[in-house]
Amino acid sequence: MNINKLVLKEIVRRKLNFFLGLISVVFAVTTVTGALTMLKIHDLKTGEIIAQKELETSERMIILEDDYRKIMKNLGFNLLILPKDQNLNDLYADDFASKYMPESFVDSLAASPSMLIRHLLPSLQQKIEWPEKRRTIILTGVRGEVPFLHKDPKEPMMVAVPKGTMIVGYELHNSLDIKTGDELKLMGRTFKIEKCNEARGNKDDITIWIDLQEAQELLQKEEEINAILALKCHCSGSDLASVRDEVYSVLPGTQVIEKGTSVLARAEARDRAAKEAQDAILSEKIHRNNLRKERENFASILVPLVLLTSTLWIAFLFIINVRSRKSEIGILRAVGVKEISIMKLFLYKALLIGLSGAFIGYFLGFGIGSIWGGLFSVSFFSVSQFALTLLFAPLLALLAAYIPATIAARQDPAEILRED
Amino acid sequence: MLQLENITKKYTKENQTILALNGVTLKASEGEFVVVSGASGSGKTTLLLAAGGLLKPSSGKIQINSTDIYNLTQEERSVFRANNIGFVFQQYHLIPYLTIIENVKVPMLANKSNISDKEVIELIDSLGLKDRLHHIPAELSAGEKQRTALARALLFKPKILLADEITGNLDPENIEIVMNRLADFKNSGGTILLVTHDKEVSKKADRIVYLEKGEILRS
Ligand SMILES: Nc1ncnc2c1ncn2[C@@H]1O[C@H](COP(=O)(O)OP(=O)(O)OP(=O)(O)O)[C@@H](O)[C@H]1O
Ligand SMILES: [Mg+2]
Repeated sequence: MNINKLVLKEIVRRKLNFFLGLISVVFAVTTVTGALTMLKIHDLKTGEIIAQKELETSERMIILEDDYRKIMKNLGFNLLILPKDQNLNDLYADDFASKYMPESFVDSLAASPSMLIRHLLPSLQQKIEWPEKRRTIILTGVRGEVPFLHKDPKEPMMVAVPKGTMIVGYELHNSLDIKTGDELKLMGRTFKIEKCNEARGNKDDITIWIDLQEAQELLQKEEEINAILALKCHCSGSDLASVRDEVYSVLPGTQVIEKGTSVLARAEARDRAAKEAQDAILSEKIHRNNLRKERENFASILVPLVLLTSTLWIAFLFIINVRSRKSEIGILRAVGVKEISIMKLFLYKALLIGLSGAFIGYFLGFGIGSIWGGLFSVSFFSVSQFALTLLFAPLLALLAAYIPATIAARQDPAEILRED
Repeated sequence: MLQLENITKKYTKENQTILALNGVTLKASEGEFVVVSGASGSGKTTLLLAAGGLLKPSSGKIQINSTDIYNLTQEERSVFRANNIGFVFQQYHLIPYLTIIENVKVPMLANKSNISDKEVIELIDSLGLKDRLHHIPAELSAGEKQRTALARALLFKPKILLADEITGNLDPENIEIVMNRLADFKNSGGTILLVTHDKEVSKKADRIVYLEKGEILRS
């Protein structure tokens, strides 16, 4: 017979007290392990969710980018450079620019290096009454492409309209029965019909194109133009601002608007999609983070509370145990058992409660935490955490039992034994 | 040999001092059976606890085989008790979750001398409890419990047996068993200090000491 055996016998034959202590440790360990497991799962899931979202986004971005590149390749990106005082409202309402700028602007632009713009097409437009035919037309003088001085000359974008000829829009040649090769008078000057355009369904159908210089003469706007069309810019929609800056630095007296809005729309859509995807990732991150904080807060309140309650509960159980074993303590002291052994009697018991509670509680907590976190994986089983639990739970139980054990050991055996 | 010299024991409670023992001098030799008698509250239990090293007197000296037991440290006194003294109380103080044999073996927690199970069973048998070995105290009669407590006290064959009112709850048959066992103990050289009111029991004693208000009246 020794103290350890006595402890085991007491535990085995008086299961309730041990069981109540055990429950308390199991509860505490389960809570702590459960909370830690849940947070671990949470972090893992967050990582996975974010990684998945990022992957999806980058895949979508690749597709969008590709689409966009294809579109840009075919269409380029067109800008309209207008005099600064051109009211855009009037432009859209009247279908042509009503303000003028010097034709030399084009040359300045062409002479400037590092242009994102590739092709420059100056034009002079005016809505006039075609005196000979009594029809409202848009007379447009064009010069063809102005080559950039610092770039290789390229195939002209638009063939210039030869002097003395005109190109007629569909509505005009169709209704007036004009044919290629006919000779027509415009404001007293004779022009040969160079080409009759196909129907385009816009103002082009009532437009007549002639040589820029002839148009300037007819409209008495020598050396003046009112728009420069810049075609096939090497830029994406989001670069519009830098293109503008470039143009403004050369031609401060102008404004730049975008033509061919579908391209811009695509580009902007892509940028927007990218931003939205990034926002979605960010908001998911924030959401996961908030959820973690919530769970962390909950755990940070729950865990100490449970530890405290459990410690107090174990201490309480030991006080009850000590009181109910007064007679036993008295006789043990009478037969010569030392104070320290009386302490051991209770501390060994606490140790066993702590160890078995840690064991049961860890696995229980692991299970509950997995359910809580919504993921079960053996990989979350941490040997070091388990070892720490096996260390700290018994320590907690020992701490709780220490004062009751001391009380037990300090009890005056004479006092107990005298009570008849 | 047990020697008490001019023992006093004062209890102080709420400014009131109770003199439980007042200059008690008593000597009990080996093989001597001393009965301590007296009215309730006369200090009998106090005397017994002091003699057994469980209650330090306010003054005086207690020697057992020429060891001044209160000159020892608390730990040394525990060891001394384990080797030399057997206690039996009216309330048995059996450990409720241990069987009879286990209860009898309880002193082995403090005294590492080897005693075989055979010897333990023989001891239990000598008190007529052989068929009760694996019962727990709750399953025993008062007499059986008291005999178990006596067996426990005798396990290491102490020099001195201190017994407080151990026949109080027993029927004549049980009293006889217990008294016979005490006689054996005395005959083997043990010293017995027995607190009792029982006239029949007292008759078996070598000497009767009467206590009154903590003083020895006559002996
Ligand atoms: N812890 C204590 N504090 C104060 N007084 C005490 C204490 N223990 C005992 N006494 C008093 O000391 C006196 C002697 O008590 P003791 O228990 O020795 O008497 P007793 O002779 O054994 O009585 P009984 O026959 O009733 O058992 C009593 O008056 C008792 O009230
Ligand atoms: Mg008494």
